[in-house]
Amino acid sequence: MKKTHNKYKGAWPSAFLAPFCVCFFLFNLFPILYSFYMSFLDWNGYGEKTSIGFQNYIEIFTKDDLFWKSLLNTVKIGVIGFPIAIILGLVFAAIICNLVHCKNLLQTVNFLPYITTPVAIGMIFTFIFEKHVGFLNKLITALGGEAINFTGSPKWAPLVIAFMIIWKCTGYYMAMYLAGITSVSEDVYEAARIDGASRVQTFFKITIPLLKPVTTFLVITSAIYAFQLFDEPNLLFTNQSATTVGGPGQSCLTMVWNFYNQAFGANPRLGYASALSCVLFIIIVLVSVVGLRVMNGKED
Amino acid sequence: MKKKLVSVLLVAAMTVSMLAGCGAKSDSEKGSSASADGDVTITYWGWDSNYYEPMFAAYEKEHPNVHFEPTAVEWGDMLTKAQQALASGSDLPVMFGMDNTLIENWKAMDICEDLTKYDFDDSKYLDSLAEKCKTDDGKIIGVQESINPAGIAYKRDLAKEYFGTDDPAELQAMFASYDDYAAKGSEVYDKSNGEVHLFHSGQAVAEWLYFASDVANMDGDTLTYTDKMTDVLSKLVTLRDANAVDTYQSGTPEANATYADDKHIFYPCPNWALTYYIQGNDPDGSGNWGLLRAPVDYNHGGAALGISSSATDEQKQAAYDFAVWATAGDGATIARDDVGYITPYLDLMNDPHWVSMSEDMIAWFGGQDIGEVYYQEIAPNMAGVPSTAWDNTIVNVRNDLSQQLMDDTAMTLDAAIKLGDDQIKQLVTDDSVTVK
Amino acid sequence: MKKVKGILTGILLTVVSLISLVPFWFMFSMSTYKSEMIFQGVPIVPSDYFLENLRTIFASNFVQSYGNSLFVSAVSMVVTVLICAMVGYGMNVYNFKFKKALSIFIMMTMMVPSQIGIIGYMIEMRNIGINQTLWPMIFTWFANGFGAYWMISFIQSSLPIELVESARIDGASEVKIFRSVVLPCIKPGLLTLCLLVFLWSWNNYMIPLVFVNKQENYTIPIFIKSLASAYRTDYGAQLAGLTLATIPLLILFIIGSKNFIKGLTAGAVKG
Repeated sequence: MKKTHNKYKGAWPSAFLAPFCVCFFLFNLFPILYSFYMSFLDWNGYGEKTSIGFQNYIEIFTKDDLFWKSLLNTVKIGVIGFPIAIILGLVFAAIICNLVHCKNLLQTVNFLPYITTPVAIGMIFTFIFEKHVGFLNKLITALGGEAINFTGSPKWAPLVIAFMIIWKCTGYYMAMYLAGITSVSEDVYEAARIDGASRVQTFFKITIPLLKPVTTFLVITSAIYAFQLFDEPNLLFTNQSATTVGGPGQSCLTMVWNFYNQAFGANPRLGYASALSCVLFIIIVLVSVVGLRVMNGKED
Repeated sequence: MKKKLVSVLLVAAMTVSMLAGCGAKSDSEKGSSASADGDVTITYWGWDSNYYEPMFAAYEKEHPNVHFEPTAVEWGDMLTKAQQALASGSDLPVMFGMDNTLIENWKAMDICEDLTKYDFDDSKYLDSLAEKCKTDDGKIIGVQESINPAGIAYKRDLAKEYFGTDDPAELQAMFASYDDYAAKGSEVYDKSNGEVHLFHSGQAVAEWLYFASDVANMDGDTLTYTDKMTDVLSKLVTLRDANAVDTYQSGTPEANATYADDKHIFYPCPNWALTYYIQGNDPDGSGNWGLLRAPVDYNHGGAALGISSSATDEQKQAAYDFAVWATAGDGATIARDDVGYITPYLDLMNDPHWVSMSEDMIAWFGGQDIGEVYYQEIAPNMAGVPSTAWDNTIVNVRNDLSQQLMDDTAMTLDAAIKLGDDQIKQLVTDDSVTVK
Repeated sequence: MKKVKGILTGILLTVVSLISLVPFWFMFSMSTYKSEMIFQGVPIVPSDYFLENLRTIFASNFVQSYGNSLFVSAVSMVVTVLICAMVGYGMNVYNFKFKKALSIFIMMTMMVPSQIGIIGYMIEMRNIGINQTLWPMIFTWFANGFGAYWMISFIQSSLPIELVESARIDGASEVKIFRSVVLPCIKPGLLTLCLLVFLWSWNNYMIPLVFVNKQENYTIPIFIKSLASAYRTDYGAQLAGLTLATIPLLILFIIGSKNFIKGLTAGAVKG
């Protein structure tokens, strides 16, 4: 941070920072504190509220296999999806940045998936991955393969979600990296070229290290996003006449879906669900802090 | 420091006043919509637009002072939204549809007006259905919209091609038991080189078998999961192993598109599915459909109209009048003709002259009097078990298991039951309920 | 050798772009079909039923939902970006106690999943009396952690502090400096954030799902979902709705594309 003038302390900092802080308190912090309060209750949302202390938390860690399952699913989907999306984003950014023509066009086209409504993504991906009429399976059968039940099998379903993430986020990551590359001084690359470095060498020796801050930022934000995954799996596997909780074999039951089902299912437990959400929050904070430490630690 | 505090307070005050301003506005809006010269507005949440749209339109025509404001809510979101409204103290709609699978959960919320206050006489309605709307302490929380006798619909052209006839009576003799379905399913599959299946989806078949099963979901405080699922899934496995079932996921656009194709012959078909599924998905299929009785006559699903006890007296009275009109009054005829629903109101339901299908629907079924099949033949013998608070959980597990059984054709019944056992034990969170 | 490489790169990029585009194309292409025809083959070539599907869509309250979404997204965008820019300015040009703590705090706000407080948020909105309005869908964006963080690092990297100082020497008030010196200076960053907030708000699914209880308040994602029950089997119409829903974002992005990248460039590096 740059040193700034002490002269202008007074009320001005507060005036500029207050709207954010006030809004945060009103619209974000209060609801969360309320959740925290509810996490000590046994409450289904309409009946009696009973205070039960840490009982909900104890249950999560000792009895609730579904919680661990949802944690595992979330990590699995996230670990498959996001690294690939980030790496692809980086590679494509490195390729595109040297192009003279079509740079803008490619960037726009690849960013499109990011702007699509999740509702649409859910619907279109069913059309693509469905076993019988899905485009992909038609392609597979046309090439002589056997149709795969992508959306109906516990083996494939998490991969479909991971693919949705890759499809959606690669363009976004690419744009971020591209922005990072553009801001790296041309001199650096020039120097590398004079030293006779190949493009691959430049990529590994210069581009990647210089883009470290961008990578850190993307890894942390995508980890946060991964733990909040809900829209995509929920919209892909919910339809009017054959709902399941968590997709085939519960293989796509993410932490937030599990929370949602506990809170708003047919047999709601708001208190318990609130405890789940508090645990989720703590996990996110831990992962972010550890992630930041690890990624920044290497640099020092 | 003081200055800082002042500015924080200032902004806070501004924000609050802004919010208060918006709040006041919405309150006044609300006030104006409720009052005014004897007009009543009934807000409604429901997923069944095929039912409420014609019914509301007809009622508004007859009663110009009553206005409906329906909001289409997806089936799966109905209960959720009601719970969220309740938990946050928000307004519920005046009237809402309650699916029978979830009716015990609606009861648990205790948001419904007790209709005994209006001298609602449920003894005039079909007992087994009226029972579903009754709470343990004698309250009546809703009016059942329709009886839901279910049979097996078939495509005539395919029946002719594969069974040599499209005559309901002859086919009925051919398909008298579940084993018949399995045997014929295997034949059809071989004859068509694996192209044609009797049924399109394992989930749809499991749904049928679930409603046709006479095993109750609960016995006291015990969830009789294993008995129920064994009963349902063993038949599904038999049919699957005979290649009688295709692997579509029920309810998806692709699955619905099979109603119009030439690769699937049979569809389990309650009376509400006539408009909801068959006409909707096969709009050009008039004349090509027929109806059989399933090996066991059964009641499939159904829904009740509930009224929120937090509405104004005026609204509640108007909603109640509508519910009675829709089941015991002129509305019952409209439900019969426009929707294909038959009220469980005994005076009408037992009147063979009144209970008939519309001309259009009979034409749709190639002249077969399906009204007679549904209401004279199936309805008096319908199987059905009481609703429980865990029905939806069992249904979710059932959907998943039937999907997995279809996906992995090597999966045995025992493996599926075991798999579901793990799931249901996690999903049933009430300690007083044991899972068997 | 170089040429071969170039061609290979070209092919790779084309394939990747196709993968990005194909689902879009399907959405558009399927929206031009009559529902029953969609599954007859692979709907690659558009058919002639688009207008018919549009008519179905416009017969429902599509226009109102569209208007709602525009209103919600526009207000969220303007206010959120303004609030975030103010934080960015405040954190960069002032020194005050707890600055470090506040900076960590803003980092933390990014980590809060909005879903977890939903019941508390509902209760709050209910008590203020605005749970039946569009405001809950707007307020939820105001204190956007990502946006604040973004603006802080953007201003740090692209606002020459000397500019502010010289304006102060000229006797300009803080508000005036912010309005006529700082805001123009960080325009690319503002535009980028505008685009992102608009996008998130437009596509938001969970908050409207919870709050929208009447037809007049439908936003686009909820409207599309409701089509699934109102026009249960009319997939052509549903897809036409989705296609239309994507258009404003598309236009915004294509118009803002250059600025968007410029904004990212300045903000991302220091991130």
